[in-house]
Amino acid sequence: MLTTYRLTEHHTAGGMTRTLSHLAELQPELFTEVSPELAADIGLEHRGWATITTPRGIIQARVMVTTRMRPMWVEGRTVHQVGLPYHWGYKGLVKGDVTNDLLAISEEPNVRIMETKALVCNIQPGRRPQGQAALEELQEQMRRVA
Amino acid sequence: MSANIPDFSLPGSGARTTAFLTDSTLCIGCKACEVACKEWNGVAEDGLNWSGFSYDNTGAVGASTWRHVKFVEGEPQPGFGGAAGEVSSWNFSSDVCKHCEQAGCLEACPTGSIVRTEFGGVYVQPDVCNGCSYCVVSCPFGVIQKNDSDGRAFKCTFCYDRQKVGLQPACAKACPTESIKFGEISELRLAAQERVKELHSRGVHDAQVYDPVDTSVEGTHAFFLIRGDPRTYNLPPQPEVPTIYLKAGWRAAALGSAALLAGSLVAFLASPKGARSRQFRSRGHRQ
Amino acid sequence: MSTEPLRQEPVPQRVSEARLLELRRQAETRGRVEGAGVHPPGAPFPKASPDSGYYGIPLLKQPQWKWEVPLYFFVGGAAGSAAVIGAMANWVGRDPELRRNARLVAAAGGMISTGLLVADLGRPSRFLNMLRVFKKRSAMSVGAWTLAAFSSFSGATAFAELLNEHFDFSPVRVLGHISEAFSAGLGLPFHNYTGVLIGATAIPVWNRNIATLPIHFGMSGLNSAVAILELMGHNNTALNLLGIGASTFEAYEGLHLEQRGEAALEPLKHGVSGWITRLGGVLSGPAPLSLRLAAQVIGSRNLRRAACWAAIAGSLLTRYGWMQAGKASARDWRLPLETADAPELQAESERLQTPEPKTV
Repeated sequence: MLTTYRLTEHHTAGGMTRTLSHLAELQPELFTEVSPELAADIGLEHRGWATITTPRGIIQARVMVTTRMRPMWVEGRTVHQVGLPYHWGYKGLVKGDVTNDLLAISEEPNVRIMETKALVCNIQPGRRPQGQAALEELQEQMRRVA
Repeated sequence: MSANIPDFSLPGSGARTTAFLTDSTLCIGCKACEVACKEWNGVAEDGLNWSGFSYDNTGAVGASTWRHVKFVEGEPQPGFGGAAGEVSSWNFSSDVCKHCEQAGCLEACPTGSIVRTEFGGVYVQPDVCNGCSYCVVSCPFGVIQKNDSDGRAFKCTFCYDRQKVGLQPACAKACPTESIKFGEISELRLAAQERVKELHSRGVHDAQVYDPVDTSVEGTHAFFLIRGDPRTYNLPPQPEVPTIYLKAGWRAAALGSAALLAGSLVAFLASPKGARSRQFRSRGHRQ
Repeated sequence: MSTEPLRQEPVPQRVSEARLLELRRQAETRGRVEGAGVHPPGAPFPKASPDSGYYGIPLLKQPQWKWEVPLYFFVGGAAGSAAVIGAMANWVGRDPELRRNARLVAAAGGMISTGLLVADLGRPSRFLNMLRVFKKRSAMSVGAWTLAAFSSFSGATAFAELLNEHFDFSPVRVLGHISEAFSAGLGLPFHNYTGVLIGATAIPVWNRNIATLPIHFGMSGLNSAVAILELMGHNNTALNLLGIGASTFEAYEGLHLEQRGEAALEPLKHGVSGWITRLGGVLSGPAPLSLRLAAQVIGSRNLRRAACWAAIAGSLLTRYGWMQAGKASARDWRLPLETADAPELQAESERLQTPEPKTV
């Protein structure tokens, strides 16, 4: 399960804060927070790279292994959480992949708030390919899941 | 708690000895203090490296960071707080120059650039410092550092410019939870003790004040209320001002000088006099 | 206490679930569990705790002095010693050629020293600020004033010497003798105060050696002064005796350091700093000592010259070694966090075999 959240240093929008050195240096890279159990299961290394995929997009992020993330036991199965802050983009003093690339275009029916807090994702160690190869990788993963 | 501390930011209150009490139990890790300090003092960017050490990408105070928030993730404690299961603790503590009562940097500075201000803080005069960097190796807390591109040594100024006009330092002003308390030193020391008592009465038994009064540093003007062992926060249990080594050092130097004097005397006495060691083109040369 | 049966007994496909089942079985059978959690690749990670410090980030700041400063230690030590040798050669040894060259070495050393120190400053144009105040509790302040005075008097003495060579004017000679007395008097603190300078700091490997560093640096300076003067052609027995004396002390100092097993002294024995310091120690102590003694026995000038080169190289390497050791010592995050009464730090290998931490 993927969930997204904000960081104090870039809160509201990275587009405004990534160009300010005082704030950019406090949180310079996109990272994903995973539990030690998930890291052990999949082979994610702390401070290494992970590639996160959803049906819509594919991004890469640094890995932070922390006990603040805990796996859940739901209906007899372990369900892991993957946490992602979403403040990076392709411009600024600090750059990173865009978490919003992963989100589905679905909105709450009443006030049309976008769905960002609970998604299904796939996470693997390693960096994602660049350019056209990234799209092909995404399509390949979706084919495997389907 | 904070309501009991009067507002010292009123101008004209006179030069009194001020201090920081940084209460980690109130800190939320927002880093407003780091940013406010940089903003007010125009401190340079300190490196855009992701460290992976929890949310702390700064590492330590130095030439380009004068307030630094430390992030300590605790071990999950079973059944502590909340409904059930384990809860991790996450402690934050904002580090700063300790403004020691007996300051290693101040004693070491050969240009007299580092002085004690009328408010009791330790201040580097940037127009005097010539970048000899002797202060850098004399700080037992590893605070002051020379900025290689600028050439001078820098550290927290205790917002001397702000204090002179009756304002609080920038970090204390920006702190949203009043975790960084600024005020008269004896009042803050009292407040720290009262806060520790209150925390202990609430079951937080590992809260303590870090203020090394029993060492040669003789206490600091920036003390910390932390949970647990100070070593977790890179606070040395036994900081010493390096001047304690001077006596032994100069004694050894005197011994060495006496040895040189006596040794050379004996050596020349023992050797044949008037030894002409090499042919010398004499130009009327005389003794 | 029994564990709830699983809705479906899963075949453990995953590391974490396998570990969880193992822990549950342990709890059922033994009533307690050994260790906890899983170990992801790369565990244990840096963490903040009393035993691992703050993520292993060093507390102290490394010395920021550049190559000029250890070279200054070398030049200053030689210059100060040369001034004393020159005065002794003048009044006791009655060796005017040795006096002349010693005065020149002292003066040249004084000037080079000043240049080196000014070059190392972050703001060299502000070098005169060193003379704004005199602080007796700052070894660098005392040193700066001593350097200023020493280089003035040694310069004046050398000037008088050279003037006298050309003009043979007795007031100049007398003034030269007077300024030489001051130069030699100042040479006594100047040749070894640098040991106090680095010893009275927060750097552990330096301040743990405060009682010997001044003598060590002084003897190293004496050794190099003697070597320089002998290489300039002087054969005075006094120089040989002083060389033997200095090398003996250096050998003793090296042995003494090797014997002491304190954790803070590790940089003097391991790593790049260890190699440099040990090589410098050998070239400062046993090598020139044995070469000088052999030269005496055999009567070989070449062996004595070799001893001189060894002493110079050794003195230089020793200073650079101590500087590197200081940097390595500042980088050691464990040292400042140990209390004064704490037992010696465990060796790295022992440390890795300690019980697994409960968190990653």
